[in-house]
Amino acid sequence: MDRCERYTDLISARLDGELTGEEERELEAHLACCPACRALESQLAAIHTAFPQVEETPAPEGFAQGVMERIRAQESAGPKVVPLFRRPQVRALAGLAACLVLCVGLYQAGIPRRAGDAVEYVEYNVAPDSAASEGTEKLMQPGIAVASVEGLMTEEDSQDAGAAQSDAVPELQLRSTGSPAQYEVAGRAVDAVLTLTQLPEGSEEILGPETETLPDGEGGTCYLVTWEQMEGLLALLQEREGITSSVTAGQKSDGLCAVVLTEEP
Amino acid sequence: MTERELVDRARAGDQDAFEQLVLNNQNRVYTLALRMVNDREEAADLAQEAFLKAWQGLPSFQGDSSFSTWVYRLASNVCIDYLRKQKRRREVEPVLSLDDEESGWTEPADWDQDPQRQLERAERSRAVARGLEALPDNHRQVLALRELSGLSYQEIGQALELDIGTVKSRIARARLALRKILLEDGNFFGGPPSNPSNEH
Repeated sequence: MDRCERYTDLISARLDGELTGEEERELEAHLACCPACRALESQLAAIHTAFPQVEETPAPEGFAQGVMERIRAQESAGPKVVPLFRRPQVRALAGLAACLVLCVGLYQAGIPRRAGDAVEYVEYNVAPDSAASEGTEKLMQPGIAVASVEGLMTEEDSQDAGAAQSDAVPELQLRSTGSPAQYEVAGRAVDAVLTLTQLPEGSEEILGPETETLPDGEGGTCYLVTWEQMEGLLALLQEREGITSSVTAGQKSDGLCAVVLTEEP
Repeated sequence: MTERELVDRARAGDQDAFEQLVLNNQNRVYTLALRMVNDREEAADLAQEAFLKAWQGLPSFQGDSSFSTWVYRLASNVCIDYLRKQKRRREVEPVLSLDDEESGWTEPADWDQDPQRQLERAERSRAVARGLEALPDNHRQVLALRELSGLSYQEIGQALELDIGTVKSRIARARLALRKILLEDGNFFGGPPSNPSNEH
């Protein structure tokens, strides 16, 4: 019986024309001496030949009309050309793109930016020392703008930046990007944010008495300045040492910039 | 009108011609789907989907095979996709439905031979249909793909993600199981079993 079990597979496979020549000969030899397997073979063959007769089961009434209705519905919804945004591929792609945007956003918000990566920001550190990280830690507090968070530099970053800048006078360029990158500081939309631990000497002249100031909620002060005023401040910062600062700049639109003054600890 | 002419017209956008193609093939396609999924409503839906795919694919249909072969293959694929999704969703338990009295299995169309023999054939055909329905899903599906779709072992293996050895033995097991049901049914082999081969 155990021996016959193997031949069951062969008998079945022969009905489907799936035997090799060798298997065929082996099966023939077995069938010649095993009446039980011969009987089985004839029964399985009978079932096999009965299949074509079982084939036809009538489709339910209205089947073809149903097909045509589905076709017409499809044709009227989009005659030949499926609207771009209805195509499942495009929908999937749109979903993927949304996820990607979200991921990039989360990544940018959550991970301190390296100076080298930044296309739309320029980070600038006049006095790269341990004060940089202390200064930036203060900025992480709630109430300080998104931009401040985006402009944060890690100690490692500031050291890198410092190493690169130590030999040459650091040059700052406010690059414009194609996207309108705007930041919010203390509820105001600005094009660029300069954070620094203290105002350099001579900044009073640049800021002037009319400069609007806002409390940033953490004991610091936020000045709303023009693009030109900020550039003036940056020029002053280049001449001074011991002030930790960083700049985050987006595209210049109305030229309003924020100068966030964080108090020295 | 020949199938070829109907296909040409349908390809040119003639929906009536396509409807005729549907009518000519609907029973075969529906039967295949029914054997594969064992659910009348689901089978009708899948069979319609196969025809919908055929309509959409007509522009690229080369005519290397006949339309009926092509649409049959499309239906096989639609059903296989469905079964794969089902398989992922859950381990399907065998569905037993033996309510054949009202299901209206068709009589063979060629009524030209000896009526007595035709009656016997019809009865045997019904017995096989009942037997198929009573088979567990994995057995019924391989038999449907083999006996109805005419897929090779290799193609079945690809479709169901099985190796050829498994396909081979599963088809053999399915046939043995069907044989057992038919022996008990008594209408296929002509009376209750009295055969020593039953030990298999």
